[in-house]
Amino acid sequence: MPRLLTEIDKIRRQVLTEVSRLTFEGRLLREIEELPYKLYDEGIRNYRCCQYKERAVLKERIRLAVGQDPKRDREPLVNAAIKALKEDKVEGSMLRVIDIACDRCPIDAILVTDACRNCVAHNCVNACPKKAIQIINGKAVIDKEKCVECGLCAKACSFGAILQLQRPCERSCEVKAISSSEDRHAVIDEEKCVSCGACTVGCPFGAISYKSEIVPVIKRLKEKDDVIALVAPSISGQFGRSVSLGQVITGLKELGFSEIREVAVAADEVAKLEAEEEIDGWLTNSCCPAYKNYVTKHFPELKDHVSHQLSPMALMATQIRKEKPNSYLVFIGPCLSKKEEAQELVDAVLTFEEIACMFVARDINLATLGKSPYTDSPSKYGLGFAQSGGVSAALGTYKSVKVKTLNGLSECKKALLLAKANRIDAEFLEGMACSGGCVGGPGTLVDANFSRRVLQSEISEREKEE
Amino acid sequence: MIYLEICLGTACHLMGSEEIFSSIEKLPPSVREKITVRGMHCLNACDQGPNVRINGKVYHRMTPEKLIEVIEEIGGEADA
Ligand code: SF4
Ligand code: SF4
Ligand code: FES
Repeated sequence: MPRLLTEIDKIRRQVLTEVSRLTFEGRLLREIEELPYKLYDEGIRNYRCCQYKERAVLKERIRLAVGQDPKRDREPLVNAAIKALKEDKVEGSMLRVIDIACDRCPIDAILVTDACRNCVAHNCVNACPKKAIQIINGKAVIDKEKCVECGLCAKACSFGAILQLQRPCERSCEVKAISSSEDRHAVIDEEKCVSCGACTVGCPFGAISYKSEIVPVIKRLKEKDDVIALVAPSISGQFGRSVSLGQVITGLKELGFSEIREVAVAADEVAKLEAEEEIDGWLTNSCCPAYKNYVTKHFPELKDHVSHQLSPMALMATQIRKEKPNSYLVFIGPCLSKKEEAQELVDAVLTFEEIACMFVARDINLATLGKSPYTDSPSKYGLGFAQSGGVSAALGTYKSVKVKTLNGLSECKKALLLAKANRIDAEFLEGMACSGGCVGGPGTLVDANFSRRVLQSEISEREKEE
Repeated sequence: MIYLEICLGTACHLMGSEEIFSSIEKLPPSVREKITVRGMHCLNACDQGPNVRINGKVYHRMTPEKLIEVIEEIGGEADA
């Protein structure tokens, strides 16, 4: 997680836990309509103007938790529950704006505050290339018609009296996919969105969130189907300092998963295949779906440089599917973008957050469980895919190439712009949409630095065991 | 001396007990050395986490800020 846990995260987790509980216990249809009242009574309140608004927002959070799109009208929740229980898959775009939760933050980009002292130099006036600033009644005033929002005045003022504002959602979106509708609600432009999920973390009102896939997964678990978990390498440390992977495996079995496989072994294979790929100038990774979307949507002329290998998740799913065509495959990881990558290959993608809510709903306390043995033995390089630099390190074991690691979408952007101008000084670009790599993904439960530390110690422990 | 028990059970973890733990690690050494920290598996109030027990008393829905307040209060009493 890129920042501290906020009230928004806690509310989302409470909602996911309650919806999991109702689904597991077969009470979803009967009790979903009451859930906003129950959650309100249990203390999710005082964030909004009144109880009606608070519950209306909760209602849409619940709709997302059962995997349905938020609504603006008063459609009952039970309709969403009926649909969710009937459908096998959560469809469409996963990142959704909850209109009623969006505070429609002001869009004035440049704002003169009371800190303006009507100084003698008038640096702001001089700095403005469009002559949009005048001093009226002892204060700088910006002519909105002329202002191009360049921010030069804000930089020029010696008192810092001019603020350059941006809506938090828009600022969080590195690919500029978020804009404002006519009535000032946030809207996501699907053409531009790469599904990294940064906006779900960026909006301080929790107005952007993701559609959960807990309902279809719980349904399969209850039907005792052959449900197989594919866990991402970044799982290390996600459930806290006192919980080992062996305990997580026991917990997943108690939830009803028949087998638990580590995607890190497939990462090892992908690195090998990527090393064998012909390089025409330079190559870049395909394992981070948000980064891959970024290249294909925003730099289409560079898309031939993207590795043709499947992502580790997709590779492993394909292999398991061959052996067990009737199994139901669930990827568990830190990633929201994987939810859309999954479509055909994997049946469902859960975040670490969603699976943790399912544990809590079943009163499974991982800290008290015994350890189960591992099925797979990935190398430290496969496990290292979880963090920025990991793909490059794995590749380096097969051949020596000049690599550049791009940590987060803003670094990716700079490097891709250079690549577009043919000014690239590497043979392999390792792009990760999330800062720090997957350990910094939006679906994680712990701070990225913490899980990186745990990952290191887990790697050395596994090496000792061998 | 402050005896601090932090619940690391899954329900409390989901609500942020790891953050409580790391907030203690970040305290200045002079304060930190007065606190004995222990991780617990459950404090039997799973729906009100994160839970901590300080010198025998359980506090619910803990946050790093609240914890610092309680520690300062207790520390102050002990000094007086
Ligand atoms: S940050 Fe964006 S999505 Fe969030 S409340 Fe403000 S305008 Fe709405
Ligand atoms: S860095 Fe990892 S978690 Fe983030 S979008 Fe890419 S694959 Fe997903
Ligand atoms: S898990 Fe913390 S009180 Fe039970």
